[in-house]
Amino acid sequence: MNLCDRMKKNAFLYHEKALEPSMAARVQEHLDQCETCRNHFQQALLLKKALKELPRRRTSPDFNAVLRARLRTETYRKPLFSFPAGVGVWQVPAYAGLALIFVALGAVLQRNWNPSVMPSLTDRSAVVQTASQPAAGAAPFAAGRASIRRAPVKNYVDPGTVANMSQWAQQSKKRTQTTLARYDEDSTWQMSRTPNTDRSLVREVRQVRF
Amino acid sequence: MSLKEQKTAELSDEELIHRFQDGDIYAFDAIVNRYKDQLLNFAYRFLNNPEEAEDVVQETFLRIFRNKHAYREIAKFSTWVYTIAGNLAKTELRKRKRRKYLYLSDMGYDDKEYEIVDPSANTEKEVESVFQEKIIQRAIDELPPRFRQVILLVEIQELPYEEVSKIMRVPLGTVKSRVNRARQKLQAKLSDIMEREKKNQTARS
Repeated sequence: MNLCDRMKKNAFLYHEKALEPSMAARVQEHLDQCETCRNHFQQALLLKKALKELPRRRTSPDFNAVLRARLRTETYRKPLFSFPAGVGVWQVPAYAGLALIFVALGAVLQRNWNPSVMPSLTDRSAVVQTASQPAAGAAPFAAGRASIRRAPVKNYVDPGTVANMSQWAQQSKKRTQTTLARYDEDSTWQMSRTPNTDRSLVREVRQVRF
Repeated sequence: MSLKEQKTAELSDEELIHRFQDGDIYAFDAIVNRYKDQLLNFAYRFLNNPEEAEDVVQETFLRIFRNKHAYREIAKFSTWVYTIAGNLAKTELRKRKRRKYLYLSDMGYDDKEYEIVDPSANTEKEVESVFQEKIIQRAIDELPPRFRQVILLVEIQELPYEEVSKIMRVPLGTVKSRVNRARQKLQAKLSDIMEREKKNQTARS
């Protein structure tokens, strides 16, 4: 690359006064000697001016009306599902993950939920009381640790609840049997030529049993 | 108080979009009126097709309407608007390439869009400026899209380098060097076109 080519690369920067002073001085020095580069620099200046003076286009007179019509159809054609306002695309996996965690937590809780094994309030206070009293002769630093440790909670079944539940189960069983018997005695089944072939209803009722 | 009663010219772009985000539809109207011609100029110079350019501008406003809450005041509103319009224009260009669309205006030198409409104007000067516009537009069309976008934003839309850097998502230094290269390329292409024109003229005569 000769000197002229190197100088020509600086034409626009020179016009914008964006060159360093030393470089600008070198360019000026070269321009004083080289007519070809002078012409090139002049062309660059004219190009900048021509770009600025390009005629400005205007939108068509019905631009706003067309836009309004398009917006109207847009508002009527709403998607079946859309994320709440302000939710970016990157947040979608985060929301999905959060939803999954909730579902998993729900499943675990449902699996382990048994109200009968939950200790009553009196039990809890008893546990706290025993835990907060350190054993005699224990090391001083063990006292703090003992207060944190909790005694294992034993399964606690209230006899009254069990009685209630078994009573309710018996009642439910009786109710189911009564319903089934009523269906068996149904007159329409007895009148049909193929009696009791469609037992889906009965199966359904049996599935309901406790 | 609705914007209908207020002077919209006094409000900044950011204030307008905030009002629109709060549900004031007249703020959207004001935004459209403020930006439609600017965006059309940009899209038209980018695509060199008035219908496609107007479609791009329409689509830009539809996107703004649809995603009004996506705008956060971390950038200027104009940056957001030009980013949308630039992406749509580039997509349109890609689509055109896929379709291998061939415009009649590219085939010949007679272009109705550049016809003189003002009889009172100095005819000779008008013809010269039309001819000049046509040549410059052809040179712009020959630039690769990234150079085309940067030169349009800096030279025609007259946006500051900082904003162009945000719109194009490239560092400031890259914008400056890209603008310089784009201008050099444009100048070289213009010289080529002028040379070709001269050759054609001598061949015709």
